[in-house]
Amino acid sequence: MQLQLSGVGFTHADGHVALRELHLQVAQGEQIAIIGPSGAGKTSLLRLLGCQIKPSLGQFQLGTQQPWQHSPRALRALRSRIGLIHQQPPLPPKQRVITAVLAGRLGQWSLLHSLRNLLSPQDRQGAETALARLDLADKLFQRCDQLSGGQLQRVGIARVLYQQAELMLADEPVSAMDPHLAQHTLRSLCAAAAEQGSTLLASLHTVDLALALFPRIIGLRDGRIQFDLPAQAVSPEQLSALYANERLASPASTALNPLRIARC
Amino acid sequence: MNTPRDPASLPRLLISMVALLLLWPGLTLSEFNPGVWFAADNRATIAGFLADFWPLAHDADFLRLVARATLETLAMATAGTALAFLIGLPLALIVTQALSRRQFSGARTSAGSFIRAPLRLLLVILRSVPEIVWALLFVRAVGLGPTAGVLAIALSYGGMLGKVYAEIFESVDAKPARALLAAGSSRLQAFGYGVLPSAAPELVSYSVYRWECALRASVVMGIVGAGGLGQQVELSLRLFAGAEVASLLLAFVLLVALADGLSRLLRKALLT
Ligand SMILES: Nc1ncnc2c1ncn2[C@@H]1O[C@H](COP(=O)(O)OP(=O)(O)OP(=O)(O)O)[C@@H](O)[C@H]1O
Ligand SMILES: [Mg+2]
Repeated sequence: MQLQLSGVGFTHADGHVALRELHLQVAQGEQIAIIGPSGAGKTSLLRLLGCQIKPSLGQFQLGTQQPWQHSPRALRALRSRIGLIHQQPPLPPKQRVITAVLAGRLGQWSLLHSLRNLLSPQDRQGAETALARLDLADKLFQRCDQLSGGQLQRVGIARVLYQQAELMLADEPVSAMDPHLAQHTLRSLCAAAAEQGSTLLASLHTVDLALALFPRIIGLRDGRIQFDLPAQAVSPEQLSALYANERLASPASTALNPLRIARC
Repeated sequence: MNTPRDPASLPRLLISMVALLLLWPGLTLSEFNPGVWFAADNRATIAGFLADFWPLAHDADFLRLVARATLETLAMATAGTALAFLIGLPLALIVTQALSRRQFSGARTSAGSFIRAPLRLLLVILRSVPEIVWALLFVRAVGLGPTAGVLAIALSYGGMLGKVYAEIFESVDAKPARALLAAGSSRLQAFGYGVLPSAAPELVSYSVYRWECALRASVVMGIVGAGGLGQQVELSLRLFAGAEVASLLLAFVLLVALADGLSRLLRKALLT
């Protein structure tokens, strides 16, 4: 799914301006990492792209149309093609992993089929395949409150993989994982998106991972796009400018020494 | 010696005193007077009536009658609660804010709030009329017998279940349902996969508790002619047949104890 922002801004209900004048063009199947300091507007941008919040300014085009001009029914159909991966997966603690993953396709299912699936999971194979990509197939019948934070994040990812979303939006999808697992999981996510031809945008706090795994990097700060470059073209100076924090004493540059990790 | 005084003790003492002060006028207003117990003629009547309690009435015919009335009460409470569930659940699903899609639609008010307001009012009306009043109404409308009791329970408890269910839906974490709505699922699907897993134990526990209440209520409603144990108690009371009243009361105590045990078992099974 391709998308385009022209002059898009977003102001929260309390008057806080989270996004200002964004211009962005993303082609079908692209994989993009969004980096930037805390409060930069990464989550707001992803929610806006996921049609969860309506831009207060500018034009937002998804696919070939403007989603906010759709009828409610068409907007719902559009949303079922978008998968948002949350930093803290919103899963009911008592729900079983298999049900949580299968819920990814609710937007495509009839009410009757979803009820039947609630009583007895209808597509065990599908859920198992999605979980297996993330090394989690053995947790199929576990309850969500029996999982660790990192495992829960992977269940959230598996749900979107099962959904086969055409636009995958991941908000710090690996923040609760150790570095090794984080890399493995992101790699699986990138690979799955590439296989399905889905467009993938992920916000990340680990700059090394972003530079290593994503061909295109967007630096966001104060709701503005600071840079939008191929990964090789991002310079250390740009990174320290992006993360510079006048209020914190420690120099930001020491935190950024890019590891050498093979690209996927 | 020097342990600090509990800082909460003084407020608690004050609150108790205020409560007593407020209660006293209530007791006088309601003409609560323990003296009537000691008036000689009242005492004689009550004593005679109570002395009649033992031995319990236990001839075969009467026992058959008790069994029938007990079953009738049980059936009345169960059918009434089931109907109340059918009324309450859909209303709760419509009225609850938990499944509102407003936060994504960008609109300040949605069509939903125009539908919700009158239904909320309906729920208020249903439950603000006590079941005994509904029972009196239905006894007039459909005649003596359990049907009136079932309808009365269905309406008043439907209103209560609808309100409490809606509140239970709103009390669980809203994020799962919101995420599902944002991924294109319908409100009912978001309910089933996002709200129900967290709300189910409380829903069942509250419904079972309501069923217990319905059992007690159905006895009271029987007294105004809605069938079951209550109606029998009323008949026997009118005949001053103490032994029969005692048997009926015993049957009722056993019934409530049974319901209590059952709901405790259910809740325990659910909360693990
Ligand atoms: N619901 C809200 N109401 C008002 N302001 C908000 C709301 N959500 C976020 N903000 C503000 O908008 C700005 C951008 O928030 P956002 O969550 O998009 O940042 P972020 O880049 O995701 O940060 P982080 O890396 O810490 O997750 C912040 O300054 C935040 O305080
Ligand atoms: Mg964020």
